[in-house]
Amino acid sequence: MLLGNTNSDFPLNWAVLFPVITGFLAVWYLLPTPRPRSLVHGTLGVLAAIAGLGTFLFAGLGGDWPFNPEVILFYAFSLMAFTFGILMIVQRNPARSALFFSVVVLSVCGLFLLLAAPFLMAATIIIYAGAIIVTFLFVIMLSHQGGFSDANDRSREPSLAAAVGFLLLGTMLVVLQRVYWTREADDLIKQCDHLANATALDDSLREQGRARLFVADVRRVREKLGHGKLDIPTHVDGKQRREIDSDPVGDLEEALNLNPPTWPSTSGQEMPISLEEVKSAARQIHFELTYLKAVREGRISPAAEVVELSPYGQSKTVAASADPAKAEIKRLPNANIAALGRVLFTDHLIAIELGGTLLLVATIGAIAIAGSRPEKTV
Amino acid sequence: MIPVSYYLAVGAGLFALGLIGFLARRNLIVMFLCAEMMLQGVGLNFVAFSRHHGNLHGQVFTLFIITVAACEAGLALAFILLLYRRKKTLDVSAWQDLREQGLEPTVDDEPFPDIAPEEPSPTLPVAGREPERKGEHTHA
Repeated sequence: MLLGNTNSDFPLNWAVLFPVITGFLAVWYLLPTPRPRSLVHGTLGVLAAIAGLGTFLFAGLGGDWPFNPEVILFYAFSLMAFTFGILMIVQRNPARSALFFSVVVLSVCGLFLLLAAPFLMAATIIIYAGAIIVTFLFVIMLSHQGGFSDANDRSREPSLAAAVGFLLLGTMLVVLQRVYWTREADDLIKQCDHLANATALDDSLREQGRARLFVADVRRVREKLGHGKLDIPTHVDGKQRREIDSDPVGDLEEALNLNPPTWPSTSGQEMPISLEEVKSAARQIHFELTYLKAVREGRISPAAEVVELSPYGQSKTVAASADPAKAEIKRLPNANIAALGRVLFTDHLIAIELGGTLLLVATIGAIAIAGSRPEKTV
Repeated sequence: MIPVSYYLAVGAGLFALGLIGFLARRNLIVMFLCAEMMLQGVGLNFVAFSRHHGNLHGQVFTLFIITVAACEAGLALAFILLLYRRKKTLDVSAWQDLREQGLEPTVDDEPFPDIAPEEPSPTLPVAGREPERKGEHTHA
Protein backbone atom coordinates (compact mmCIF):
# COMPACT_ATOMS: atom_id res chain seq x y z
CA MET A 1 0.00 0.00 0.00
CA LEU A 2 1.38 3.33 -0.99
CA LEU A 3 -0.40 5.38 1.65
CA GLY A 4 0.86 5.03 5.18
CA ASN A 5 3.59 2.56 4.45
CA THR A 6 5.74 2.57 7.57
CA ASN A 7 7.26 -0.85 7.12
CA SER A 8 9.95 0.43 4.82
CA ASP A 9 13.05 2.05 6.21
CA PHE A 10 12.44 5.16 4.15
CA PRO A 11 11.08 7.62 6.71
CA LEU A 12 8.85 9.60 4.36
CA ASN A 13 5.76 8.34 2.65
CA TRP A 14 2.95 9.83 0.66
CA ALA A 15 0.68 10.41 3.63
CA VAL A 16 3.29 12.90 4.85
CA LEU A 17 4.73 14.08 1.55
CA PHE A 18 1.36 14.95 0.03
CA PRO A 19 0.27 17.51 2.67
CA VAL A 20 3.77 18.96 2.89
CA ILE A 21 4.21 19.44 -0.85
CA THR A 22 0.71 20.74 -1.56
CA GLY A 23 0.81 23.03 1.45
CA PHE A 24 4.21 24.39 0.46
CA LEU A 25 3.12 25.08 -3.11
CA ALA A 26 -0.13 26.74 -2.05
CA VAL A 27 1.46 28.99 0.58
CA TRP A 28 4.46 29.86 -1.57
CA TYR A 29 2.19 30.77 -4.49
CA LEU A 30 -0.20 32.83 -2.43
CA LEU A 31 2.11 34.80 -0.13
CA PRO A 32 1.88 38.44 -1.20
CA THR A 33 4.18 39.63 -3.97
CA PRO A 34 3.94 42.67 -6.21
CA ARG A 35 2.92 40.34 -9.06
CA PRO A 36 -0.80 39.67 -8.98
CA ARG A 37 -1.72 36.02 -8.45
CA SER A 38 -4.39 34.09 -10.29
CA LEU A 39 -7.42 33.55 -8.10
CA VAL A 40 -8.22 30.21 -9.75
CA HIS A 41 -4.74 28.78 -9.18
CA GLY A 42 -4.77 30.07 -5.61
CA THR A 43 -8.13 28.44 -4.88
CA LEU A 44 -6.92 25.16 -6.36
CA GLY A 45 -3.75 25.35 -4.27
CA VAL A 46 -5.66 25.90 -1.03
CA LEU A 47 -8.04 23.04 -1.85
CA ALA A 48 -5.06 20.76 -2.55
CA ALA A 49 -3.44 21.74 0.75
CA ILE A 50 -6.65 20.96 2.66
CA ALA A 51 -6.92 17.64 0.85
CA GLY A 52 -3.31 16.99 1.87
CA LEU A 53 -3.90 17.46 5.58
CA GLY A 54 -7.16 15.51 5.29
CA THR A 55 -5.20 12.65 3.73
CA PHE A 56 -2.75 12.62 6.60
CA LEU A 57 -5.51 12.62 9.21
CA PHE A 58 -7.41 9.92 7.36
CA ALA A 59 -4.64 7.55 6.36
CA GLY A 60 -1.44 8.72 8.01
CA LEU A 61 -2.03 7.59 11.58
CA GLY A 62 -3.60 4.20 11.01
CA GLY A 63 -6.88 4.78 12.79
CA ASP A 64 -10.15 3.07 12.01
CA TRP A 65 -12.86 5.61 11.52
CA PRO A 66 -16.33 4.98 12.83
CA PHE A 67 -18.92 7.31 11.34
CA ASN A 68 -20.07 9.25 14.38
CA PRO A 69 -20.65 12.92 15.21
CA GLU A 70 -17.38 13.27 17.09
CA VAL A 71 -15.34 12.26 14.06
CA ILE A 72 -17.34 14.47 11.72
CA LEU A 73 -16.98 17.47 14.04
CA PHE A 74 -13.27 16.81 14.46
CA TYR A 75 -12.76 16.80 10.72
CA ALA A 76 -14.89 19.90 10.22
CA PHE A 77 -13.11 21.93 12.90
CA SER A 78 -9.58 20.84 12.08
CA LEU A 79 -9.91 21.37 8.34
CA MET A 80 -11.60 24.73 8.97
CA ALA A 81 -8.73 25.79 11.24
CA PHE A 82 -6.17 24.74 8.63
CA THR A 83 -8.00 26.44 5.73
CA PHE A 84 -8.49 29.75 7.46
CA GLY A 85 -4.96 29.57 8.85
CA ILE A 86 -3.63 29.47 5.28
CA LEU A 87 -5.98 32.24 4.19
CA MET A 88 -4.93 34.35 7.16
CA ILE A 89 -1.21 34.26 6.43
CA VAL A 90 -1.64 34.93 2.69
CA GLN A 91 -4.22 37.71 2.98
CA ARG A 92 -2.98 41.14 1.88
CA ASN A 93 -5.53 43.16 3.81
CA PRO A 94 -4.69 43.00 7.54
CA ALA A 95 -8.34 43.56 8.50
CA ARG A 96 -9.30 40.41 6.62
CA SER A 97 -6.36 38.60 8.23
CA ALA A 98 -7.78 39.47 11.63
CA LEU A 99 -11.22 38.20 10.57
CA PHE A 100 -9.79 34.90 9.33
CA PHE A 101 -7.80 34.57 12.54
CA SER A 102 -11.05 34.82 14.47
CA VAL A 103 -12.39 31.86 12.46
CA VAL A 104 -9.22 29.90 13.33
CA VAL A 105 -9.80 30.70 17.01
CA LEU A 106 -13.42 29.57 16.79
CA SER A 107 -12.39 26.28 15.16
CA VAL A 108 -9.78 25.64 17.83
CA CYS A 109 -12.46 26.36 20.42
CA GLY A 110 -14.61 23.69 18.80
CA LEU A 111 -11.70 21.26 19.17
CA PHE A 112 -11.39 22.31 22.83
CA LEU A 113 -15.04 21.39 23.30
CA LEU A 114 -14.43 17.98 21.71
CA LEU A 115 -11.54 17.56 24.16
CA ALA A 116 -13.85 18.11 27.16
CA ALA A 117 -12.58 21.60 28.01
CA PRO A 118 -15.70 23.82 27.97
CA PHE A 119 -14.25 26.45 30.30
CA LEU A 120 -11.19 26.93 28.13
CA MET A 121 -13.43 27.21 25.09
CA ALA A 122 -15.42 30.03 26.66
CA ALA A 123 -12.32 31.77 28.02
CA THR A 124 -10.55 31.60 24.68
CA ILE A 125 -13.52 33.01 22.79
CA ILE A 126 -13.95 35.88 25.24
CA ILE A 127 -10.27 36.84 25.46
CA TYR A 128 -9.43 36.42 21.79
CA ALA A 129 -12.60 38.18 20.71
CA GLY A 130 -11.43 41.15 22.75
CA ALA A 131 -7.91 40.90 21.34
CA ILE A 132 -9.20 40.72 17.78
CA ILE A 133 -11.47 43.73 18.22
CA VAL A 134 -8.51 45.73 19.54
CA THR A 135 -6.41 44.55 16.58
CA PHE A 136 -9.20 45.69 14.29
CA LEU A 137 -9.14 49.13 15.84
CA PHE A 138 -5.41 49.28 15.25
CA VAL A 139 -5.75 48.22 11.63
CA ILE A 140 -8.40 50.86 10.99
CA MET A 141 -6.33 53.46 12.78
CA LEU A 142 -2.93 52.76 11.24
CA SER A 143 -3.34 51.31 7.77
CA HIS A 144 -3.64 53.49 4.72
CA GLN A 145 -6.49 52.88 2.36
CA GLY A 146 -5.99 52.01 -1.28
CA GLY A 147 -2.92 51.34 -3.37
CA PHE A 148 0.01 49.00 -2.76
CA SER A 149 2.22 49.19 0.27
CA ASP A 150 5.49 47.55 1.22
CA ALA A 151 3.98 46.23 4.43
CA ASN A 152 1.02 44.41 2.89
CA ASP A 153 2.04 43.52 -0.63
CA ARG A 154 5.58 42.23 -0.22
CA SER A 155 6.91 39.18 1.63
CA ARG A 156 10.32 38.43 3.00
CA GLU A 157 11.68 35.31 1.25
CA PRO A 158 8.32 33.57 0.71
CA SER A 159 9.86 30.40 -0.73
CA LEU A 160 12.39 29.96 2.09
CA ALA A 161 9.85 30.71 4.79
CA ALA A 162 7.32 28.26 3.35
CA ALA A 163 10.04 25.61 2.94
CA VAL A 164 11.16 25.99 6.56
CA GLY A 165 7.60 25.85 7.89
CA PHE A 166 6.54 22.81 5.93
CA LEU A 167 9.82 21.02 6.61
CA LEU A 168 9.07 21.46 10.30
CA LEU A 169 5.51 20.23 9.75
CA GLY A 170 6.74 17.19 7.82
CA THR A 171 9.19 16.29 10.59
CA MET A 172 6.50 16.52 13.23
CA LEU A 173 4.07 14.44 11.17
CA VAL A 174 6.69 11.71 10.62
CA VAL A 175 7.38 11.60 14.35
CA LEU A 176 3.66 11.34 15.12
CA GLN A 177 3.28 8.59 12.58
CA ARG A 178 6.22 6.60 13.89
CA VAL A 179 5.07 6.86 17.49
CA TYR A 180 1.33 6.33 17.12
CA TRP A 181 1.04 3.90 14.23
CA THR A 182 -0.60 0.76 15.68
CA ARG A 183 -2.30 -0.94 12.77
CA GLU A 184 0.27 -3.73 12.48
CA ALA A 185 0.08 -4.29 16.23
CA ASP A 186 -3.71 -4.61 15.87
CA ASP A 187 -3.27 -7.23 13.16
CA LEU A 188 -0.81 -9.23 15.24
CA ILE A 189 -3.03 -9.04 18.32
CA LYS A 190 -5.87 -10.45 16.26
CA GLN A 191 -3.68 -13.25 14.92
CA CYS A 192 -2.37 -14.15 18.38
CA ASP A 193 -5.89 -14.17 19.77
CA HIS A 194 -6.92 -16.51 16.99
CA LEU A 195 -3.91 -18.73 17.68
CA ALA A 196 -4.51 -18.81 21.43
CA ASN A 197 -8.05 -20.08 20.95
CA ALA A 198 -7.34 -22.41 18.04
CA THR A 199 -8.40 -26.01 18.12
CA ALA A 200 -5.91 -27.05 15.47
CA LEU A 201 -2.71 -25.51 14.23
CA ASP A 202 -2.92 -23.53 10.98
CA ASP A 203 -1.17 -24.99 8.01
CA SER A 204 0.67 -21.71 7.52
CA LEU A 205 2.46 -22.12 10.85
CA ARG A 206 3.59 -25.66 9.98
CA GLU A 207 5.55 -24.12 7.14
CA GLN A 208 8.94 -23.07 8.49
CA GLY A 209 9.43 -19.91 6.42
CA ARG A 210 6.07 -18.34 7.19
CA ALA A 211 6.30 -19.25 10.83
CA ARG A 212 9.68 -17.56 11.04
CA LEU A 213 8.22 -14.48 9.39
CA PHE A 214 5.39 -14.40 11.92
CA VAL A 215 7.77 -14.68 14.86
CA ALA A 216 10.01 -11.94 13.41
CA ASP A 217 6.95 -9.69 12.98
CA VAL A 218 5.94 -10.23 16.58
CA ARG A 219 9.42 -9.46 17.80
CA ARG A 220 9.73 -6.28 15.70
CA VAL A 221 6.32 -4.87 16.68
CA ARG A 222 6.95 -5.68 20.31
CA GLU A 223 10.24 -3.79 20.23
CA LYS A 224 8.55 -0.87 18.52
CA LEU A 225 5.86 -0.65 21.18
CA GLY A 226 8.57 -0.30 23.82
CA HIS A 227 9.11 -3.83 25.05
CA GLY A 228 12.03 -4.04 27.42
CA LYS A 229 11.43 -0.61 28.88
CA LEU A 230 8.45 -1.70 30.96
CA ASP A 231 7.78 -4.50 33.39
CA ILE A 232 5.01 -6.51 31.87
CA PRO A 233 2.94 -8.47 34.37
CA THR A 234 2.70 -12.16 33.56
CA HIS A 235 -0.62 -13.34 32.37
CA VAL A 236 -1.47 -16.54 34.25
CA ASP A 237 -4.83 -18.05 33.63
CA GLY A 238 -5.84 -21.65 33.86
CA LYS A 239 -2.64 -23.38 32.94
CA GLN A 240 0.42 -22.46 34.89
CA ARG A 241 3.27 -21.56 32.59
CA ARG A 242 6.47 -23.42 33.09
CA GLU A 243 8.80 -20.51 33.59
CA ILE A 244 7.11 -17.35 34.71
CA ASP A 245 9.68 -14.86 33.47
CA SER A 246 10.69 -16.51 30.23
CA ASP A 247 10.46 -14.91 26.84
CA PRO A 248 7.16 -15.93 25.24
CA VAL A 249 8.39 -15.26 21.71
CA GLY A 250 11.29 -17.62 22.35
CA ASP A 251 8.78 -20.13 23.71
CA LEU A 252 6.75 -19.80 20.53
CA GLU A 253 9.84 -20.32 18.43
CA GLU A 254 10.69 -23.40 20.43
CA ALA A 255 7.16 -24.74 20.26
CA LEU A 256 7.08 -24.30 16.51
CA ASN A 257 10.45 -26.09 16.17
CA LEU A 258 12.08 -23.07 14.59
CA ASN A 259 15.28 -23.26 16.60
CA PRO A 260 18.07 -25.19 14.95
CA PRO A 261 18.50 -28.54 16.70
CA THR A 262 21.38 -28.67 19.13
CA TRP A 263 22.35 -32.13 18.00
CA PRO A 264 21.65 -33.76 14.70
CA SER A 265 18.44 -35.62 14.77
CA THR A 266 19.06 -39.30 14.24
CA SER A 267 15.71 -40.20 12.87
CA GLY A 268 15.61 -37.23 10.49
CA GLN A 269 12.02 -36.61 11.50
CA GLU A 270 10.90 -33.34 13.01
CA MET A 271 9.52 -33.19 16.49
CA PRO A 272 5.74 -32.97 16.52
CA ILE A 273 4.48 -29.46 17.31
CA SER A 274 2.71 -29.31 20.62
CA LEU A 275 -0.51 -27.32 20.21
CA GLU A 276 -0.76 -26.65 23.93
CA GLU A 277 2.65 -25.01 24.08
CA VAL A 278 1.91 -22.88 21.03
CA LYS A 279 -1.40 -21.77 22.52
CA SER A 280 0.15 -20.93 25.86
CA ALA A 281 2.90 -18.87 24.23
CA ALA A 282 0.40 -17.14 21.93
CA ARG A 283 -1.78 -16.27 24.92
CA GLN A 284 1.16 -14.60 26.67
CA ILE A 285 2.20 -12.75 23.49
CA HIS A 286 -1.37 -11.57 23.00
CA PHE A 287 -1.42 -10.28 26.55
CA GLU A 288 1.95 -8.53 26.16
CA LEU A 289 1.01 -6.79 22.92
CA THR A 290 -2.36 -5.66 24.28
CA TYR A 291 -0.68 -4.37 27.41
CA LEU A 292 2.01 -2.45 25.52
CA LYS A 293 -0.56 -0.96 23.17
CA ALA A 294 -2.80 0.10 26.05
CA VAL A 295 0.15 1.78 27.77
CA ARG A 296 1.06 3.53 24.52
CA GLU A 297 -2.50 4.77 24.12
CA GLY A 298 -2.56 5.94 27.72
CA ARG A 299 -5.41 3.66 28.76
CA ILE A 300 -3.45 2.03 31.54
CA SER A 301 -0.56 3.25 33.57
CA PRO A 302 2.59 1.16 33.74
CA ALA A 303 3.13 2.12 37.37
CA ALA A 304 1.66 0.01 40.11
CA GLU A 305 -0.43 2.88 41.41
CA VAL A 306 -1.85 5.89 39.67
CA VAL A 307 -3.12 9.18 41.01
CA GLU A 308 -6.60 9.94 39.86
CA LEU A 309 -8.82 12.98 40.14
CA SER A 310 -12.07 12.85 41.98
CA PRO A 311 -15.00 14.72 40.39
CA TYR A 312 -13.90 17.83 42.27
CA GLY A 313 -10.26 17.64 41.40
CA GLN A 314 -8.90 16.18 44.60
CA SER A 315 -6.13 13.71 44.08
CA LYS A 316 -6.65 10.18 45.27
CA THR A 317 -4.56 7.09 44.76
CA VAL A 318 -6.09 4.04 43.24
CA ALA A 319 -4.51 0.78 42.20
CA ALA A 320 -3.75 0.63 38.53
CA SER A 321 -5.51 -2.04 36.58
CA ALA A 322 -2.90 -4.35 35.15
CA ASP A 323 -5.35 -6.04 32.84
CA PRO A 324 -5.63 -4.20 29.53
CA ALA A 325 -8.98 -5.84 28.83
CA LYS A 326 -10.48 -4.18 31.90
CA ALA A 327 -8.70 -0.84 31.52
CA GLU A 328 -10.90 2.04 30.52
CA ILE A 329 -10.02 5.36 28.99
CA LYS A 330 -9.11 7.78 31.74
CA ARG A 331 -11.87 10.28 32.18
CA LEU A 332 -11.77 13.92 33.11
CA PRO A 333 -14.02 15.06 35.95
CA ASN A 334 -17.54 15.99 34.89
CA ALA A 335 -17.65 19.34 36.65
CA ASN A 336 -14.98 20.98 34.52
CA ILE A 337 -15.04 24.48 35.98
CA ALA A 338 -15.23 23.33 39.60
CA ALA A 339 -12.39 20.86 39.09
CA LEU A 340 -10.30 23.41 37.22
CA GLY A 341 -10.78 25.95 40.00
CA ARG A 342 -9.86 23.38 42.60
CA VAL A 343 -6.68 22.42 40.74
CA LEU A 344 -5.77 26.07 40.12
CA PHE A 345 -6.08 27.08 43.74
CA THR A 346 -4.46 23.99 45.26
CA ASP A 347 -1.75 22.67 42.95
CA HIS A 348 -0.95 25.83 40.99
CA LEU A 349 -1.43 28.59 43.55
CA ILE A 350 1.95 30.27 43.05
CA ALA A 351 1.59 30.10 39.29
CA ILE A 352 -1.78 31.82 39.35
CA GLU A 353 -0.43 34.58 41.60
CA LEU A 354 2.46 35.05 39.20
CA GLY A 355 0.02 35.15 36.30
CA GLY A 356 -1.99 37.89 37.95
CA THR A 357 1.17 39.87 38.68
CA LEU A 358 2.28 39.44 35.08
CA LEU A 359 -1.03 40.85 33.83
CA LEU A 360 -0.71 43.86 36.14
CA VAL A 361 2.88 44.54 35.07
CA ALA A 362 1.96 44.17 31.41
CA THR A 363 -0.93 46.62 31.77
CA ILE A 364 1.26 49.21 33.44
CA GLY A 365 3.98 48.62 30.86
CA ALA A 366 1.60 49.02 27.94
CA ILE A 367 0.29 52.29 29.34
CA ALA A 368 3.84 53.53 29.95
CA ILE A 369 4.93 52.61 26.43
CA ALA A 370 1.97 53.93 24.48
CA GLY A 371 0.54 56.53 26.82
CA SER A 372 2.91 59.49 26.54
CA ARG A 373 2.79 61.19 23.19
CA PRO A 374 3.30 64.64 21.79
CA GLU A 375 0.25 66.72 21.04
CA LYS A 376 -1.73 66.21 17.84
CA THR A 377 -0.15 62.92 16.78
CA VAL A 378 -1.71 59.52 16.36
CA MET B 1 -12.65 8.76 21.33
CA ILE B 2 -10.27 10.28 18.81
CA PRO B 3 -6.66 9.46 19.83
CA VAL B 4 -4.37 12.24 20.95
CA SER B 5 -2.18 11.92 17.84
CA TYR B 6 -4.84 13.48 15.58
CA TYR B 7 -5.07 16.60 17.71
CA LEU B 8 -1.27 16.78 17.79
CA ALA B 9 -1.25 16.74 13.98
CA VAL B 10 -3.71 19.65 13.83
CA GLY B 11 -1.70 21.56 16.42
CA ALA B 12 1.47 20.97 14.41
CA GLY B 13 -0.26 22.32 11.30
CA LEU B 14 -1.37 25.50 13.05
CA PHE B 15 2.10 26.00 14.52
CA ALA B 16 3.82 25.59 11.14
CA LEU B 17 1.41 27.99 9.44
CA GLY B 18 1.95 30.59 12.15
CA LEU B 19 5.71 30.17 11.79
CA ILE B 20 5.56 30.72 8.03
CA GLY B 21 3.40 33.81 8.46
CA PHE B 22 5.72 35.21 11.10
CA LEU B 23 8.78 34.70 8.92
CA ALA B 24 7.34 35.87 5.62
CA ARG B 25 4.87 38.65 6.31
CA ARG B 26 6.04 42.22 6.76
CA ASN B 27 3.06 43.87 8.39
CA LEU B 28 3.64 44.13 12.14
CA ILE B 29 -0.02 43.49 12.96
CA VAL B 30 -0.16 40.35 10.80
CA MET B 31 3.08 39.09 12.35
CA PHE B 32 1.52 39.55 15.78
CA LEU B 33 -1.57 37.57 14.69
CA CYS B 34 0.67 34.78 13.37
CA ALA B 35 2.43 34.54 16.74
CA GLU B 36 -1.00 34.20 18.34
CA MET B 37 -1.82 31.36 15.94
CA MET B 38 1.34 29.51 16.98
CA LEU B 39 0.19 29.83 20.57
CA GLN B 40 -3.19 28.38 19.56
CA GLY B 41 -1.46 25.30 18.13
CA VAL B 42 0.55 24.80 21.32
CA GLY B 43 -2.56 25.25 23.47
CA LEU B 44 -4.37 22.62 21.44
CA ASN B 45 -1.53 20.18 22.15
CA PHE B 46 -1.74 20.84 25.88
CA VAL B 47 -5.51 20.32 26.01
CA ALA B 48 -5.19 17.11 23.96
CA PHE B 49 -2.60 15.75 26.39
CA SER B 50 -4.82 16.79 29.28
CA ARG B 51 -7.55 14.56 27.86
CA HIS B 52 -5.04 11.82 27.10
CA HIS B 53 -3.70 11.64 30.64
CA GLY B 54 -7.05 12.21 32.28
CA ASN B 55 -5.97 15.11 34.49
CA LEU B 56 -6.40 18.86 34.34
CA HIS B 57 -2.82 20.08 34.39
CA GLY B 58 -2.74 20.51 30.62
CA GLN B 59 -5.83 22.71 30.74
CA VAL B 60 -4.29 24.78 33.52
CA PHE B 61 -1.20 25.23 31.38
CA THR B 62 -3.34 26.42 28.47
CA LEU B 63 -5.03 28.89 30.78
CA PHE B 64 -1.62 30.36 31.58
CA ILE B 65 -0.78 30.44 27.88
CA ILE B 66 -3.91 32.54 27.33
CA THR B 67 -2.85 34.85 30.18
CA VAL B 68 0.59 35.34 28.70
CA ALA B 69 -0.93 35.82 25.24
CA ALA B 70 -3.15 38.59 26.62
CA CYS B 71 -0.12 40.33 28.18
CA GLU B 72 1.75 39.88 24.93
CA ALA B 73 -1.15 41.37 22.94
CA GLY B 74 -1.21 44.48 25.12
CA LEU B 75 2.53 45.04 24.99
CA ALA B 76 2.87 44.16 21.30
CA LEU B 77 0.15 46.58 20.25
CA ALA B 78 1.70 49.31 22.39
CA PHE B 79 5.04 48.68 20.69
CA ILE B 80 3.43 48.64 17.25
CA LEU B 81 1.88 52.03 18.01
CA LEU B 82 5.29 53.34 19.12
CA LEU B 83 7.05 52.04 16.01
CA TYR B 84 4.33 53.43 13.77
CA ARG B 85 4.75 56.86 15.30
CA ARG B 86 8.47 56.86 14.47
CA LYS B 87 8.33 55.71 10.83
CA LYS B 88 4.69 56.19 9.77
CA THR B 89 4.57 52.67 8.38
CA LEU B 90 3.77 49.17 9.64
CA ASP B 91 6.44 47.62 7.43
CA VAL B 92 8.91 45.71 9.58
CA SER B 93 11.66 46.20 6.96
CA ALA B 94 11.65 49.88 7.84
CA TRP B 95 13.59 48.78 10.92
CA GLN B 96 16.27 46.81 9.10
CA ASP B 97 18.93 49.19 10.44
CA LEU B 98 18.81 46.91 13.48
CA ARG B 99 20.09 43.91 11.49
CA GLU B 100 23.26 42.04 12.26
CA GLN B 101 26.55 43.66 11.32
CA GLY B 102 27.88 42.69 7.89
CA LEU B 103 24.52 41.66 6.42
CA GLU B 104 23.36 43.21 3.18
CA PRO B 105 20.24 45.32 3.45
CA THR B 106 17.07 44.00 1.82
CA VAL B 107 16.19 46.00 -1.27
CA ASP B 108 12.74 45.80 -2.79
CA ASP B 109 13.66 45.87 -6.46
CA GLU B 110 10.44 44.44 -7.86
CA PRO B 111 8.18 47.36 -8.71
CA PHE B 112 4.49 47.39 -8.03
CA PRO B 113 2.31 47.07 -11.14
CA ASP B 114 0.78 50.24 -12.50
CA ILE B 115 -2.77 49.96 -11.36
CA ALA B 116 -4.64 53.16 -10.71
CA PRO B 117 -5.72 53.44 -7.11
CA GLU B 118 -9.40 53.04 -6.49
CA GLU B 119 -11.65 56.07 -6.54
CA PRO B 120 -12.17 57.38 -3.03
CA SER B 121 -15.58 56.69 -1.60
CA PRO B 122 -18.18 59.45 -2.13
CA THR B 123 -18.54 61.83 0.74
CA LEU B 124 -21.42 63.97 1.81
CA PRO B 125 -21.23 67.69 0.93
CA VAL B 126 -20.88 70.19 3.68
CA ALA B 127 -24.32 70.89 5.05
CA GLY B 128 -25.94 74.30 4.60
CA ARG B 129 -24.32 75.16 1.32
CA GLU B 130 -25.86 74.63 -2.08
CA PRO B 131 -23.89 72.06 -4.10
CA GLU B 132 -22.30 73.21 -7.32
CA ARG B 133 -24.11 72.01 -10.40
CA LYS B 134 -22.37 72.10 -13.71
CA GLY B 135 -24.44 72.78 -16.80
CA GLU B 136 -27.71 72.69 -14.99
CA HIS B 137 -30.28 75.38 -14.99
CA THR B 138 -31.51 76.45 -11.68
CA HIS B 139 -34.94 77.86 -10.99
CA ALA B 140 -33.48 80.88 -9.37
